[in-house]
Amino acid sequence: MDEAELIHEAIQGDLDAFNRLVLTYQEMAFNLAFRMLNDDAAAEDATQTAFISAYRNLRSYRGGSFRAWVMRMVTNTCYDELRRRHRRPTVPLEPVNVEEEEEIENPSWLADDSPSPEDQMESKELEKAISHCIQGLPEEFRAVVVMVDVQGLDYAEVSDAMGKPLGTIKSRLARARGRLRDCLAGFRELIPSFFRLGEEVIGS
Amino acid sequence: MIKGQLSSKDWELLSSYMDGELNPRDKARVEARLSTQPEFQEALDGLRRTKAILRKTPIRKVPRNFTLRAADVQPVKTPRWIPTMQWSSAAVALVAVFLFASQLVPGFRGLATTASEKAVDSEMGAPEVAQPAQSLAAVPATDQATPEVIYWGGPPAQANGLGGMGGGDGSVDCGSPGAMCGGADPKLEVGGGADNGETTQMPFPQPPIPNMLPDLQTQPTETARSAIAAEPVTGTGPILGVRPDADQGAVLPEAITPAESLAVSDESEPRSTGQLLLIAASVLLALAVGLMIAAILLKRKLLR
Repeated sequence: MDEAELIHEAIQGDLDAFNRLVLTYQEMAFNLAFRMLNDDAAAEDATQTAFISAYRNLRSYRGGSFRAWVMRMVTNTCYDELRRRHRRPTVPLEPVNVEEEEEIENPSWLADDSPSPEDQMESKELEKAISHCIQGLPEEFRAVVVMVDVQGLDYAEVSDAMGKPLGTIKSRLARARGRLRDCLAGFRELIPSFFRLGEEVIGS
Repeated sequence: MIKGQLSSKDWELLSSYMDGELNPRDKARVEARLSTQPEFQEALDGLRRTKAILRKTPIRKVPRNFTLRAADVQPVKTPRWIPTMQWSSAAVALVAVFLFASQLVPGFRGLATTASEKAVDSEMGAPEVAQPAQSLAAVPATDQATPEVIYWGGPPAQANGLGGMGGGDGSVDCGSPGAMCGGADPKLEVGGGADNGETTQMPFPQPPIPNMLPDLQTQPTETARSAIAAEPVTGTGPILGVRPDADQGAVLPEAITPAESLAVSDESEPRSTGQLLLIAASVLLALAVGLMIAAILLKRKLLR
């Protein structure tokens, strides 16, 4: 059964068909939510909420990219969560890195205590740097750059997902990339191989 | 350095060029500038480097499957009071709009004010001045045209057939000082003072005095009070006031006909009622908006 049939069946109320769609898009949805919220538990909740909302609103799906439509549900749920956080800010439980005098971005001390091989260290540093820089972006820039540069959606899909005109998406993406470029440049010493990789991309 | 040289539009063009999202004309322009402007090329290299790094962002594995169970997607039962709030809000808004329209739209005004005045009067009680006016309004028009005359301590009273309410029955000695006689009209049974048969119809109309309300409410003077105390009251009609000696026996120019008193009440009433209606409409409108916002927020919270 292809995606169009699954969607049709799901609209008719077939929960199994919808769950097959969930399995296809849950990783993308969860990663978008995580990049937006920078918190595993919140991303998990947002993903679940987004899929429930998607099922309840399936009849509003008017064709086009289904993954863009699902991403729209996720971004809307994340915006709701971010608004809630702004209204009721909470103090994070993560320890504070005294040397850098800033909060550690990812709660790796909770998630994984196993010793990391050296080749994974740089990857973790990279993720930390990217998370740090993405979180520094305004929310609407964040969603666009994650969907295009991290998840590989095209502009039209992002326009659908965000409910914004193509011109707005282009403008936001350019500004987000400019900010990220400046931010990531500060991590050049921590992740030199990724900057080398960047040079290779340019050279190719 | 590059930032200062390139405009935000240039960055947007380069960003879209990198993603292959430019139309052929813009693409040709960008390529022409790339070949001639080193800073343009440098900016593009920076964007490509950034994109390459972002592409390497580790993908997180999902902590669990997010498949739904039937229980997760049970239709949410909206409590009955939410639609009730919504409909109440709509109804209150309609009433508010009607009240606003009744005050602001000229054609609407007369129609709505009459009805609303009655409602306001019945709830708040009519103003003191308006009460006699409304009760007198029940008297037929022919009688209303007759000016009311009040005598005090003068020659035998000339009743005009209307007089005060609940006056004598015609056998009262209206000539007694200290008594006030109005005309009794047995046919109408509206009471009034005695009609001694010498009644003459007073020609109406004294020119209306602009502000006669204060006079109606004027308390008897000290002289009058002493006169009341000195003279025994023998009549049965109501004592409405005491005039100074010089004025006694004269036709009172301040006498108010029912028609005039109605006019007075008409002048003062709509203004205050209109203000009350506008305030009421504003309060209702605020209530309607509040109810609607509350209903929407509650519904969203429940459906989440």
